[in-house]
Amino acid sequence: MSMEMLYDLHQDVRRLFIAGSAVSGGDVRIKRQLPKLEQLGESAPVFKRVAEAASRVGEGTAEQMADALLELAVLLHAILYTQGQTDAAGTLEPFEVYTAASDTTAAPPVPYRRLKPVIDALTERGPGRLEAVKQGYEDNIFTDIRTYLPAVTALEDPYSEIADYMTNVVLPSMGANVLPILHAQLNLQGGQADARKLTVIHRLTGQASHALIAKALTEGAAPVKLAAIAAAAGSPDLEELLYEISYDRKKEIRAAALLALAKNGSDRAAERLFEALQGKDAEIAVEPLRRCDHPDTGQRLVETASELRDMVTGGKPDNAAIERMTAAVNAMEGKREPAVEEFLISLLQDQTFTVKETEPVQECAAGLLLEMDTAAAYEVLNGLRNRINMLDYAFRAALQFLPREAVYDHYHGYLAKKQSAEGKTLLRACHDIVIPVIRAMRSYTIEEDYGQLPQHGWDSRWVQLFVKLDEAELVCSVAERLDEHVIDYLLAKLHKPRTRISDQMIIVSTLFRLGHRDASELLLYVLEQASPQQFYYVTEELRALILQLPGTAADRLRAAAERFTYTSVKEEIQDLADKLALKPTE
Amino acid sequence: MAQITEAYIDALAPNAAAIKNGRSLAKKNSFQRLCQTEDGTLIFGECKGSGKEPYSCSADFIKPDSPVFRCSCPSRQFPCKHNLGLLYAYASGSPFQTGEIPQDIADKREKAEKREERKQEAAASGEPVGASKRKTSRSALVKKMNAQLEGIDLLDKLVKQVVNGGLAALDAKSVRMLEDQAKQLGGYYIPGMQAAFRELLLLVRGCDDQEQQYTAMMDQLTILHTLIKRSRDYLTARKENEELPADTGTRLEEWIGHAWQLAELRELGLMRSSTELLQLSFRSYADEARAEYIDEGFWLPLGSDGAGDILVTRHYRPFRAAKHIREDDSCFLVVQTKELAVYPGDMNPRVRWEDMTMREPESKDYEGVKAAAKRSYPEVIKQVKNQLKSPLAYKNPVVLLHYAKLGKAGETYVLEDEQGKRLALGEIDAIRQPTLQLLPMLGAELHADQAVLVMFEHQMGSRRLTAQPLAFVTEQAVIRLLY
Repeated sequence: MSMEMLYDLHQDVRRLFIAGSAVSGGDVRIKRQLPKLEQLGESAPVFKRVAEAASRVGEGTAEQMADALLELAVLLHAILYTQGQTDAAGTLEPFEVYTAASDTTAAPPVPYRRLKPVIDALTERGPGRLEAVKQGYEDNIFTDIRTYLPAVTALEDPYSEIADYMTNVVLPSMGANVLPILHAQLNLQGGQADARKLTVIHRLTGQASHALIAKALTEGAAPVKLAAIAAAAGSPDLEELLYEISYDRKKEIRAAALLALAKNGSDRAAERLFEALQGKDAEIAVEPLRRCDHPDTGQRLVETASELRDMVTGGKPDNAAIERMTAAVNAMEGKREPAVEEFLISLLQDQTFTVKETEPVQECAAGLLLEMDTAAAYEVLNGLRNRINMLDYAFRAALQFLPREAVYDHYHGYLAKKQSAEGKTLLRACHDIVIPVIRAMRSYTIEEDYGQLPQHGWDSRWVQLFVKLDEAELVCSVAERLDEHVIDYLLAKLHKPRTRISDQMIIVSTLFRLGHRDASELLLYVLEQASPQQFYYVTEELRALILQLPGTAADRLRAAAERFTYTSVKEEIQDLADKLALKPTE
Repeated sequence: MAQITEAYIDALAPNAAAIKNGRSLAKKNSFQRLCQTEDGTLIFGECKGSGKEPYSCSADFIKPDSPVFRCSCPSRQFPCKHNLGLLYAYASGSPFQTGEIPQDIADKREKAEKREERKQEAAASGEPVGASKRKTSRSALVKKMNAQLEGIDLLDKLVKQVVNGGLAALDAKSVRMLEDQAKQLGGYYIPGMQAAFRELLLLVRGCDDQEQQYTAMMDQLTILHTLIKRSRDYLTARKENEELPADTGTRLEEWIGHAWQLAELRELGLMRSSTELLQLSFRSYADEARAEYIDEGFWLPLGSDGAGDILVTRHYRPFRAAKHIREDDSCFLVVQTKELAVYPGDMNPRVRWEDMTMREPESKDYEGVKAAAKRSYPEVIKQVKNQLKSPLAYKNPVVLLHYAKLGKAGETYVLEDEQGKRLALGEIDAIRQPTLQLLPMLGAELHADQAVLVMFEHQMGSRRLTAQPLAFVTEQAVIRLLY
């Protein structure tokens, strides 16, 4: 075939380009082809030209050699570029259409400048892509067919926020348009991306996907199987498979299967959960049992735990039994049944059970009892306050049901020594209890008043005690009226050098709350003496406090803000000052 | 006044961010004043900015095919987001009061009118517009051509040096040396050739597949060699013979690096008058060798002229200035221009226009497009190959084809014309974005008797001439597979 010869020659020329025309002088391959080319040249003039050009390769000076090689290349280029095949053999068959239903012309066309950033965000790597995808979703760009494939590809994105967003929001919204692609690309032996595909398919097709889910449950690789388990939860027709899988080799798969079974809540599912609780899977059975709403769960947990208690108290405490018991008690969370309450009370009051080894179980039980929110539970807990590990729970229970004076009477003694174990425990409890109050103070706005804050009813003697203990945060959160002693303490604290700005703000905020007459002045003082870098953004708290200032303070506020390093803070405070200036003077 | 639609405003905007910002200004009611003159040729308003004073912006449609935007904001983007916001507010039907034309704009209009008058007077007196400025002296031209020829000799030497040493010998160090030498070519008025050489050097580091890289480099060397020969002959001839006009039959001038001015094209009679165009596809890519982004639009002239050949618009945005230059975009409206400049070139000549108006496409436009599609594949392929034969021609001709059938032969998508001649479809390197995978997502009505825009590429490795579909055209719409 004569064309084949030219392709061969092209290969030879290419080889010489790579090696360099400097070595073309010694090349014999092209020379060897010359006679044949010349022979062909007699019938076709184009071969004659090729033969002429080829004959000059490797002759003359270095420059001539380079020139000759280039000339031959140009000639071959011109010939071979006209030889490209365009045909296709075989019978022409119609091809499958994925989306016969959707009308591709209905959606308005999306221009390059809006489409490109979204496609890039879906298919490339780098920062700022999630925003582009979200923007695209808001702009309704995912109705365009050109986004279908990239949208599915994005499930493989290593940046999981994008993959999650696509799984949970975008792809479900694309509906039938992406289903064929998802089905075509789904690989049950694949990884996380395929798990996501399965999740989307299930979400889009529901019951119709159950055959596929069943297949994934039996054959899928671990990530796909996990997705299938999640999808199978709550479907009675797939329970049998879930049941089987709950004996899988991998712990995470067993855990997921148990959780899915718990959602089913059937007799058989509950049976399986208790079976797991008895064995080595006790730990992973906890969460499923908590969520299991089978009516007998609470009662059966009590029975299981009772048996274990007898084992623990009967003989030598053995670790495995205690662990399983912890699991059983833990699983009672959320089960507010009288039987459970009764059991927990009896457990905590059982002297034989009160040993060091069972402390984790005791604490767990006390926590659950506190959540029961019944008078009996509170009373029992309060009664346990002399056991150091119960003190925290006892105090919280007392705050819930005892008169405030009684709480103080019962508990202030524990704080006699701040450094003692009891003192530390109780102080920690106090802090934990008031943290929500402090947080609320931090974020309150002018419209909200303090009446909505969680009220615990602290006896007025507490505040004095906290002053004595120098617990400024506690003082601020329980102070209820303008008490001279308390105010003196707070003012001293406020003016003390090196007090943190956050503490100062809490104190000022408290003074505002209590209606102290110098509160405005003190806020300005804090702002004026703060170091310029100290405010790097304006909190809700600060904004609300500033707005309580009188209109006359505007100028001082402006001057104070002028010193601040961060312009955003400066500008915002000055804006607030402008607002203040508009306040009517009283 | 021209029809102001959202699509029209989108098309005016310099980039996507400006669209977003403009829209949000309109949506957030940032305009304190929205006015229009009684005759509707001017809309103006005031928009709140970050400063104390609002910005006053206006859009002047006294000449609907070249509206004038003015704004008192300091933005370098043009039109700025305030102008765009003003237009979006107008398009969305926000209430505009009728108001007197502001004095400063009236003054500006008057000045513009006077300029126009002077221009017309000059034209009437027989002097072509701006001709005096452009008429370069013969001696300067000869001097320039001498420099160009010198540069071509230098380039020739570099190319031969590369060929002599062999492609395998090119390593990072020698490429750096050659790059330095390529920089020197900058002084010889041959920027196009310089870029072509730089492209060769870029190929050295560009590709992972070394075999493919060698093939591409060999191709580039043949291009350079042909370019050197042709341009040397051409310039020598022009130097010797004063009468010889600039080459307008091929893209040679562009290859050397000449940027055609509209006035030149006008002088050379390369203008088409009163043309309507519909864009069928669009793409944008970075040309590293030229250090430019290239926004490319593929258009079909509506009506009888042009015989169904696809025209191309190319906007060059140098990397360094890309921020300040309008990024071109897909265009879904019919562009109407009184004067269309057609650059010298091959099957897909580059075109450009200055003033234009736009209108919504109608179904008869789509029918017209479909009717203009080429029906005989052997003829088209012959034409394409004829172009590919020349190393200096565009390697990727774009053609609108009619097909009787679209189907699959084995794993290959295939077009069949009315005579049963086939054309296999595939993915090509020039696009670097798959489009065939979209075919199963299009409706079955596309499987027979429609038109498709394809881009060709000769693939040396597989010895095939491959066509990649860019867009389909039906009686109702253009369905874009690319952008």
